Amino acid sequence: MQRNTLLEYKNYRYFKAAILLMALAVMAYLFDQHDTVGFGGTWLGYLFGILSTFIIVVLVLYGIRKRLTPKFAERRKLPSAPVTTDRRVRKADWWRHHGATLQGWLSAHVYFGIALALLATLHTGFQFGWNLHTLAYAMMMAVIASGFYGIYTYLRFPRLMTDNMGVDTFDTLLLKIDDLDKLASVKSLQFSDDICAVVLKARQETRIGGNFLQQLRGYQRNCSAAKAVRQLQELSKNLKDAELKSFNDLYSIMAHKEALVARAWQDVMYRARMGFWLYLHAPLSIACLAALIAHIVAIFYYW
Amino acid sequence: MIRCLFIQISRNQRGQAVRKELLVTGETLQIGRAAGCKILLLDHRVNLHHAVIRHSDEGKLYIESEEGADILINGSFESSAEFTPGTHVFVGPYELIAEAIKDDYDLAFSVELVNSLPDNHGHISAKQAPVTLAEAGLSKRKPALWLAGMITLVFLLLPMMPTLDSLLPGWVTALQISINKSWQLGNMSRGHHLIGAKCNVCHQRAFEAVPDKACESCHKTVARHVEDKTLHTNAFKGMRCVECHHDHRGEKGQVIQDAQCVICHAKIKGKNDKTKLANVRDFGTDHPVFSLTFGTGRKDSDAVRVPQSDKAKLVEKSGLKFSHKIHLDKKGVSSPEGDTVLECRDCHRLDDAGARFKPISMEKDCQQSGCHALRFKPPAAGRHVSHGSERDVMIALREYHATMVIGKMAAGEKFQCGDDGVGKNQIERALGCANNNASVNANALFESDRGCGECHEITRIADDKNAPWKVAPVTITSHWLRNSRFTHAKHGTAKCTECHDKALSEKSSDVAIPAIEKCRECHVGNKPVRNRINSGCDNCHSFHNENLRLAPATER
Repeated sequence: MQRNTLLEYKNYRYFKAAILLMALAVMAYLFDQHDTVGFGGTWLGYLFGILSTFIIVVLVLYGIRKRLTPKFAERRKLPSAPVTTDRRVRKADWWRHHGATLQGWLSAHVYFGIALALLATLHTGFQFGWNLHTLAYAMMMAVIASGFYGIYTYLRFPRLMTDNMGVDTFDTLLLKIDDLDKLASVKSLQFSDDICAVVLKARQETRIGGNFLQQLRGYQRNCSAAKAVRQLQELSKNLKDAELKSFNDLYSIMAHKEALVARAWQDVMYRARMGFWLYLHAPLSIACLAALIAHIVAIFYYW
Repeated sequence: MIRCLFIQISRNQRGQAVRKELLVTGETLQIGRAAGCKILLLDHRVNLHHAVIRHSDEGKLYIESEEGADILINGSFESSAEFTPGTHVFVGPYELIAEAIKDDYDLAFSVELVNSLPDNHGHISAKQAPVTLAEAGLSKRKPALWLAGMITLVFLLLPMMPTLDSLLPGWVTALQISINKSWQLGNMSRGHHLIGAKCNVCHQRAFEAVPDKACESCHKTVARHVEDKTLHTNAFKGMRCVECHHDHRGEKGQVIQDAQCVICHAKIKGKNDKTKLANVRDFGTDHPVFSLTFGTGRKDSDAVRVPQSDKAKLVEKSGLKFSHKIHLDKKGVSSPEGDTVLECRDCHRLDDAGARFKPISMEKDCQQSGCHALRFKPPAAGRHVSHGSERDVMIALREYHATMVIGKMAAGEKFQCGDDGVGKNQIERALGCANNNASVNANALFESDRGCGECHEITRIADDKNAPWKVAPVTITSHWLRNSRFTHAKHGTAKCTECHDKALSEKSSDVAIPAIEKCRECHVGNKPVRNRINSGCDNCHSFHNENLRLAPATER
């Protein structure tokens, strides 16, 4: 689904545009006379630089457009809104009807991001060094690389998440775990203290979520739920035959809980892995913008 | 068809059960929170289609889970079980208890919400840790602002302070790290290294390109491109040094590149209709034939340039008679030391720069092994005629013969003087005799092909009694391609005769400067060719043409 909407948007409209742009750029670069060492200072170098800057601005605008979306959506809910004379609102209305959809923006964002990697590389003339200019380029490439990971997550994880969650949501999983905890507590009362302690400990210490790395890892080390299941297996050896039927019920409840906990952890992991790249992509893109401004100022300050 | 008595149990404020009975019928009884379910259980913990009650093939009533949903039947998770009275089934938080069947019902069961949904989920013990990255404290805005701020400070604001480096403590500058250097595109050219990080030596004002006066503060004498001042000014009006000389582009960044030359020279005729230059883009393809410079006199302005295509005019008038064929004979050339095999470098010695050759000198090159020694014949063997002006030769001859005559007079010997000695006293006769002998001797020297005339072109001047001959001045061209630079030392791998076809040349008027095709056997233009050398304009020409002067051709 995601593939159809994002990458194939409007019959690959932005893919085609980006490919055309890249082909023109490569041809211009190849046919340009390379008598001088490039450094981005030839007319073609400046052209690549200006184009790259323009694309970066458009790519950053996507971030702004995306954050404006809730406001757009809010206005969409009011189709019978009174005709307003406020210019800003009317402008927003115009954009709502004529501007590209967020999906279109994202499709363009992806393809022009790829084109940007090529254009900016040609702009460098393959001259790199330990300086601000290469820093700006490196940051831009880091932003693009994190963006690539973003596309990968958007194409891969939603399906895995759906498969993992089935009809549940994360909150219902937690509620179900809670119910099972309660049920297990009641069930465990008929058994010895050590079994009760194991069930209680599993109830109190089972944790879903954690810090950044734990979320990315996707499971709790020494998970209490899993440990409880193993301990119950051990403790079952001392039980009398009469108790076994009831104990099996308790055991299956705990095993179910363990499975639910694992699914909940899996969901946390998918969401973390799907989300963390944006914590690189967005700050790096802002930093890249700062480096870009410094790069442009530096070039013209000491012209 | 199942006729079912469905009993909803709720609790009043005192916790007592309140039973509400309903009749539910259907082929199957679906249990779930979906709208179509016969037994609708509205709770998030219940799946849309959680379980179903249906008849088995034997006609018994079964309850079974749907789509893998968990149902707890009599305390254990099972997928299906017979729904006989007394069966306890948990569907999510609801407890279903099959009751005794009464009247004409097929089934009776009660449903009670035993784990009601809490108002907030906060107490759920499993959800104590952050489950999203934002909850884990990750932020986009903070690092974005920090990074952007740091970059702006370190790479934009600080480098704008040109005196920053001098404010830093000594140990920081000793680290060879300069914030200013972060703005540099590439290494500075070799010659500019001494400027170091003092940006404002060249970049005198912000947002203003480097002015020419910044360059000229060090480069005080820069030769023009063309000799004609007006033409130079018109051609390069408004152009600044930095348009061609880009610094911060590595060690060789300052070197002029072909593209910059070609801007004008590709259509030089259009730029200046009076020019004699041909349009040129690339050495390998459309460079015109070489024009050789012939020095016709002592002054620069006497030089004429003749294209190599104009073969009839390619005649050097050096004033010298010389056969390379005789001198380069493989059997050797006769000399007082016997037959000597000469090589080109015996006479053509590279100058100190290794570019061209030192001027040919009579003493070093022609008299080197006793050849062309200008000796007197016996009895005066061992004495030489000086190699100088005609007048000097005459004085030397007169002195020699006077000495000879005086010697004979002193010895009382007769001296042969012809008619000049008749009727005068002895001293007058002796002087007349000496002059006469000198004159006879000079005649033989200047006018025979065995004397001066062997190498020089000599004309007789009737009205000069003292030295009635004129030896043509010798002007050997030392720099044939005056507007170019050629370093012989760099071409040491080739034999001289590979380029200069002089081995069989009998006349000094032969010109043996190789044509452009010879160069192109090894050199190509800017387009790379396998096993050929890429050559740009700068390989042979220099923009600031300081090489326009003719070097002195010979030393006397």
